[in-house]
Amino acid sequence: MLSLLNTDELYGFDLVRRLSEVDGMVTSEGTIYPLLSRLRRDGLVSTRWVESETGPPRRYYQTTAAGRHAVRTFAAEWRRFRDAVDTLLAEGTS
Amino acid sequence: MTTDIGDQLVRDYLARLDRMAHQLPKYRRVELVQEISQHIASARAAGTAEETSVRGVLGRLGEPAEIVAAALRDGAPGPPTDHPPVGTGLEIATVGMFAVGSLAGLAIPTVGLLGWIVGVVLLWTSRQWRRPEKTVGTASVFGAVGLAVLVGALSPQSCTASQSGVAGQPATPAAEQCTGGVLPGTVGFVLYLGLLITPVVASLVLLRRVRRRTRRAGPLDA
Repeated sequence: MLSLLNTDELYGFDLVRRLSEVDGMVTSEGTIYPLLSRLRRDGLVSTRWVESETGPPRRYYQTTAAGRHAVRTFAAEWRRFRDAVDTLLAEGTS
Repeated sequence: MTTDIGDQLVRDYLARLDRMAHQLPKYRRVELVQEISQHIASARAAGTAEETSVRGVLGRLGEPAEIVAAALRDGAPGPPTDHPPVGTGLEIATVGMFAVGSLAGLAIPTVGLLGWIVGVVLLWTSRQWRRPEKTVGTASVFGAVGLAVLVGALSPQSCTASQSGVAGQPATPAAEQCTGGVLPGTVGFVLYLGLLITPVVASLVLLRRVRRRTRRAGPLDA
């Protein structure tokens, strides 16, 4: 989620839709909102209200510096973990 | 599906969500309902084949219970606040005094009463309880004392249990014979026990309210 917001400033609905497009990420879309709320409280994302032409103002989300740092840290850890698993699997199947 | 039915479905869904979200602090409940409501509006406005169906939109959102459970899982620390975290030592002591009073009241009513009075003083000393809560706590004590006196007056002064039965045959159930009261002895005793624990139960309920409030007003977790 943070990674998606890293590249774009999105509003809730767009974000949820993009997450849903990634297979296996979202089972019920509504549960994304509590998670967003938590990221906001943790200071990892910031929000901004933008007037909408078609309806009520929308809340746009974007990562903060802390959020971007969290993404980088996670990405590094994830690669290390993935490589470790790949190595083990390669040894097990060769 | 006509728009009317769709609107009704959305209203029902949001009402259910709002009801379930009662467990959350108010500002988070408002925020959650607002976001979900905006999501539904956006999804309906986007209008791809699946999403024009309100049922489809609501189905993808998931059950309100599921969403609220996710919100509760994510912890519910309150909005940014400058207040330092507050302890509930005094409030726990209040419950303790009520409990001591009730226990002592079993043996010596006057000592029990003393414990309760100390409890009431602590109750009103607390800064965490609001005035209506303090009133409820106090009323539970005075109500219990008043009723205890009444029960005492109506209860029999002495009871004797007798068992009738002829040797060799199963005895008939014990019958209690009491004199000098309107209420049967056991009923009076059960009532008295109930009254004794009333202030304890009341103060425990009040303590829980304080704890819930202080959790909400707690510091941010980041």
